[in-house]
Amino acid sequence: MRTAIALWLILLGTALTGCRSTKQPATSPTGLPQSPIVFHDVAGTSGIDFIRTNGAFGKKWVPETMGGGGAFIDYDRDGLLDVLLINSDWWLPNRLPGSRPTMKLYRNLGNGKFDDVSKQTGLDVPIQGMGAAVGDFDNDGFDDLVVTGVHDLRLFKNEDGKRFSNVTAKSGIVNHGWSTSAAWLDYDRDGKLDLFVCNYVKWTIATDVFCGVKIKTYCEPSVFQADSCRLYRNLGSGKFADETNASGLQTNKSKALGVCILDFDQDGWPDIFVANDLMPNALYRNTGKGKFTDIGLETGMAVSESGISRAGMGVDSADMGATGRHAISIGNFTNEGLALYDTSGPPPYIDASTKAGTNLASAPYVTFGLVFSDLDNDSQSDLVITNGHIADTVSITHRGQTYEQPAQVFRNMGDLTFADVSAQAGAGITTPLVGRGLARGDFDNDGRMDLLLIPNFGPCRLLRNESDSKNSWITLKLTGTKSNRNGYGAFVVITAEGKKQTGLCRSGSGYLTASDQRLHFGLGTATGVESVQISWPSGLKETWKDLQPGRQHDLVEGSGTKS
Amino acid sequence: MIRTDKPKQPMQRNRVALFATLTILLALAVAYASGFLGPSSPTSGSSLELTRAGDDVVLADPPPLSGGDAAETRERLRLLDDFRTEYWARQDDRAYLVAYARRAAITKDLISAHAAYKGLVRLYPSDPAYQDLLGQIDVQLGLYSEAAELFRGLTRLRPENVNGYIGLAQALYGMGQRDETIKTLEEASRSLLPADAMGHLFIGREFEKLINYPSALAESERAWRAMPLDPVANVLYARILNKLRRISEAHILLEKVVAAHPDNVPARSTLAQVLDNPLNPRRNPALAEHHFLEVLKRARTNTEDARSLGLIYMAQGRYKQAAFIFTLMLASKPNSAAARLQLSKAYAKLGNSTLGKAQGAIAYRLIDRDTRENELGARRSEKPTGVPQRLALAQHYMDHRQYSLALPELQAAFALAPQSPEVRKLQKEFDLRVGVSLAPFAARVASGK
Repeated sequence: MRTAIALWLILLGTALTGCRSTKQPATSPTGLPQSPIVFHDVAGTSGIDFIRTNGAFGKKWVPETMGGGGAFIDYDRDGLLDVLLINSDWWLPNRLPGSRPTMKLYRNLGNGKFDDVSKQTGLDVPIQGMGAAVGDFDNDGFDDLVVTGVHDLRLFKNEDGKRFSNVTAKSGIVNHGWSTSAAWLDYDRDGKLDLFVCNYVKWTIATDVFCGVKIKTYCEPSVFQADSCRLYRNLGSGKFADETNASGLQTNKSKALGVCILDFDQDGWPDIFVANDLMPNALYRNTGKGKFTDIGLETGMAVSESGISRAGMGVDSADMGATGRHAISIGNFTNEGLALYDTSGPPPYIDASTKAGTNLASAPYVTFGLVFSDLDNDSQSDLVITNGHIADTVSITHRGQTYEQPAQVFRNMGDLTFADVSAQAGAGITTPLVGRGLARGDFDNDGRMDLLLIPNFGPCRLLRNESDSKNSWITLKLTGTKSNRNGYGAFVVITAEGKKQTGLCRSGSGYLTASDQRLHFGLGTATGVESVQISWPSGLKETWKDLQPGRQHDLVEGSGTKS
Repeated sequence: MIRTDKPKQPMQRNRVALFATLTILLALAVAYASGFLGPSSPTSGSSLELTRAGDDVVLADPPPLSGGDAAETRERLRLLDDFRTEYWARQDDRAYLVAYARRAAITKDLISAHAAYKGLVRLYPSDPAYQDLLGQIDVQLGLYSEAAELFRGLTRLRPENVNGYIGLAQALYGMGQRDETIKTLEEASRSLLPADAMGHLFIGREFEKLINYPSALAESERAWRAMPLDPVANVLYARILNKLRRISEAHILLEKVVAAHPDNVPARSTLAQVLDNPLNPRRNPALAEHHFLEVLKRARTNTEDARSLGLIYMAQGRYKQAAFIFTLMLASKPNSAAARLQLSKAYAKLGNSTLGKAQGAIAYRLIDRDTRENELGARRSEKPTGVPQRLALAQHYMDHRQYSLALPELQAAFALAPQSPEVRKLQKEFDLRVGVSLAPFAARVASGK
């Protein structure tokens, strides 16, 4: 009897307070029962046979351990996301027999299969590659590519969805640094995409440092000098001008690995968040007059709450709860854990990752890739990260730590807390890998966001989202006419059954990757979308009414109702 | 003011009153089911008079930045002036050398300590204590090969003594031989007598420094089993358990230690951290606050605990209390970037943007300084026998008038390259800025004349 009364009291208390375990969340923010977020790795069966090399041959040169990235890109405009994977190359003193590693482009055939089209598209070229960014810099309707790398940055023009031409030399873009993440943005809102490139540190084979004493280890970035990120303004006609100095972005205090374009202050001018490795992060506020001001420190997001610069890598931002503002999360090193800033309200902001549950859960790992994405379409942005140590010998030197580490999936519980649901997410998430790049994209157009995981070496993973969610969704593909063709910088507000969500159409975010540029919104139980309002970079504000959920809508600038 | 209140459940501030009522209902249910409805343990938070900072704390002006530690460093080093003067005449005087070495080690004049201990080893070559102490100074000076040789001798001479192994491990780590470092500590563990609890404790600490928590746990558990009532063994064991996320076990251990030793600052401090750990099923920020405040009552200059408490207040949105604590922290550590940064945030949240900006401006300069220090420190750690790396760090500290931090780097650079003109130049500059005369003594020691 005593036990029965106690149990009754417990049940009553639980029911009334809505108590939930963070490990086994019972209900979604919408009140619906939550089905697990589940992924299935289909890379092998889909024809994506890419095996990444890091070029390592015992010299322990730092670039070996930092790559690689890739992109979801619909290069042929058939409405299906294709997959680009960036490779490293053999280092000169260690050229192995046979063909050199190259980057690879896989065309999505639409039946769950991909075809290697690297050769016919001209992308089967060796490069000491790192990452990629996707954007239609010449507004011809076909997405172009920038590929970053060690002392190598290449601009590839998409020739009508058939081939890519290396137009770097003609473009005037010169970057001899070690470029990492990159993003396209129209910072001056002239309708032409400009290019922002993160540079990491000043490293060359000649100036390499022997870290360690008898046995060499991968050096940490403190050993090398910082290198400034660069901004290239699109002049039109395929030409670019280096505006780093003129825009106020030149700095010697940046070892940049991740970039996220956002409109932090919602003034319509795209701002730039840069995640730096053991240097304060930067938030470059666009003044709208061709200049940027770093407000990272005054917004409280440059360093940890202890005033220490962390090992910033991947970075992303997302609407956290229909506030119209975005939260920002940054991947960091072992024992630092993720940073998470709720940027609602005025700065300075306080790192809320501990309260959110993501800090301690990620603390055992070194987080590189990081993206927000509504994985279960419950209208809340979830968070995915890929982890992997930089030291291949870490299990010997630091017992309990491993080079390969599992990825992690955090479900947004709707109150700026996250539940670690990795254990249920499938072997593609839980099987350790030396995780680096991570991109989101709906490659099978089923309304569930899939993931592309790119390791430092070995096969990549294409994780098809197989979550059994009954939630509805809508995908918006934006096309600028007066604005840049991709619509990068367009701010979108959707209203579904009275509930608002926001999104920014953009390039960049994550680590070394380009994600699906379409805007995807989970709608929960909503059966209709009353309106979609878009503020284009051109200044035009338009509204579309009564859009049907469960499909993609192509919204062309100028075709909506002016608002 | 800081005051003692009746207990408050931590969730009360964040949830509606209904939640609190139901929480109590649940607690009653559990207690009823277990047949226990007696008073809670003294540290469980339900019957304890909790110390809590209220909204009426009085905020003082933030202290100004420190102008550096030249005067303190000078005072400290001048205590050794007489010893240095007499050194050449009393090299065979054991009592003098022991006193000089000890004083020098305390005042962090490593060159003096090295000279004195070397004299003692020369006089008493079979005394392991002097070899141990000289080896420790060698490690601090970056003379790792010399230290390793001394400590290897010690481990052969007294294989059951942990000091030799720990010294050897530290020397090997300095030499970059990380595998060998771990093997040496493992060998130490095997060589110790089972009852040598302190030995296992020391090895546990070394493994903790190496972030090798599984081995640290094994060693600390051995120490704890041998001394189950010893607060030091308990605290180390609990700390490692907490780091390995065995939080409930750590929590229980620490509650017992604090109940038995209420004035034990490390135990309270660790308990407070465990209580604030979000992974703790019995997380209780109110009780964490209580213990942090009790720590600060006993150890006002304990800046790490002040920082942790301040961050709790910031997370709770209790910005006035946060400002109070960070101001307190600045009284002990006026050049703390963390305290200035948080103070700037707290004042901004309190609506005092002028003070917030002023503290922010100071914080950014300090962050800049610390970022550079971390960069140079990492380069030094990568190559601890590198003279340019040591000099660069010493120069950085001197540029920021942190002379007590500059001195060991400078002295290590001298020990590694006594004839280097760059080292000698910076030594002279140090002497000039601080107002001491260390360089001539060091030069004479190096020349042996």
